[in-house]
Amino acid sequence: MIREMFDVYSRHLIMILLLSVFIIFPITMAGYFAAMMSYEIDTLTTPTYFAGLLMLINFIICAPPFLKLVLRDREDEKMTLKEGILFFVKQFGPLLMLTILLYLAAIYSMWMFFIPSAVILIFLMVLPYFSDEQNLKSMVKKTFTKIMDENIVILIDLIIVISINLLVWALLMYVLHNYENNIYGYMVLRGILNTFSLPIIYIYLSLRYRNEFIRTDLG
Amino acid sequence: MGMFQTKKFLQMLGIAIISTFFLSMILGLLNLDAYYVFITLQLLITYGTIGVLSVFWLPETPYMSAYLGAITMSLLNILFSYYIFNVMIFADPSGINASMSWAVIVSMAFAFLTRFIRSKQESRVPA
Repeated sequence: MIREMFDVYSRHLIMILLLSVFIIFPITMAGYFAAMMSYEIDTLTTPTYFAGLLMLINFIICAPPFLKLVLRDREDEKMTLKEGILFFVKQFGPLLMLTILLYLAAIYSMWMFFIPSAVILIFLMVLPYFSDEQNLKSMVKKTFTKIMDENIVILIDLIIVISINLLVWALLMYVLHNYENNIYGYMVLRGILNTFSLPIIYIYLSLRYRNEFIRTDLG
Repeated sequence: MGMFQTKKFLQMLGIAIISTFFLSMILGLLNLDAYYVFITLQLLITYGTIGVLSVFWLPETPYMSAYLGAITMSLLNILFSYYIFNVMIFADPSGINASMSWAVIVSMAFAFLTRFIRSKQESRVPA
């Protein structure tokens, strides 16, 4: 899996960097500025939930162009930047609406020992990698089938995603903790960090969940 | 196949949100003092996008999808301004009525106009 990931990187390096700069960086900056604004409102009692929603949206909606890149790579074809941005714009709405709805469900079901919240997080993590389906029903159905197939192993993916983020962030903070930074400096750093760390996760997860072609090659 | 396609509907809402986002960013850079111009442009762009796209992407149910899209977007706006910006919008039912009616009127008018123009284009005999 790791070797295939580096193969994809070596074949489409320029496209991955362009997509990161044009899609992931602006979305991350917009999300973090909105979170900052929500923390500055005094009347809002729980801005943490809103900030969490923004971070989750940032993680979910940037995935489809990289999925398309990986699917094109399977057919030994290249993807243009215009196609990637158009695919992102088209998948923006369904992923955003489903994320908002399911995040609200996860927040309001936290009293059940976080079990529905974990299930919803796993569902939202797998959902973007089936966003090339024609209708919503088959998208949700294939996601459920994938979760049932993978079973408990899928928790390891969630742990990998969270720990890559935490590890890179901690390493960067270890380098920077001696300097005088303000919150905006940290935000820009976090945006640059996402620009380079999120494509790795997206390409890994697309190769992980869309492995139907590999199976047919073996059989 | 007279079916309501939910994914196309949600894509339409997503494009309306993206266009509103970009328009707000550009108008914010211009630093307008006239809030009425800002609000009117946002209303026209957001719900006009819904009306136009509902004809092109959901040609089987254009008016229903324009109506539902306008209702969904204005409900999202109301909930967002109540829970995030703490505007006491539920204390003013006539304001909610006005915003929802304007949303539905604009999106349905755009859907009607787009469908009218398309039908004229299709029925035109090439000379």
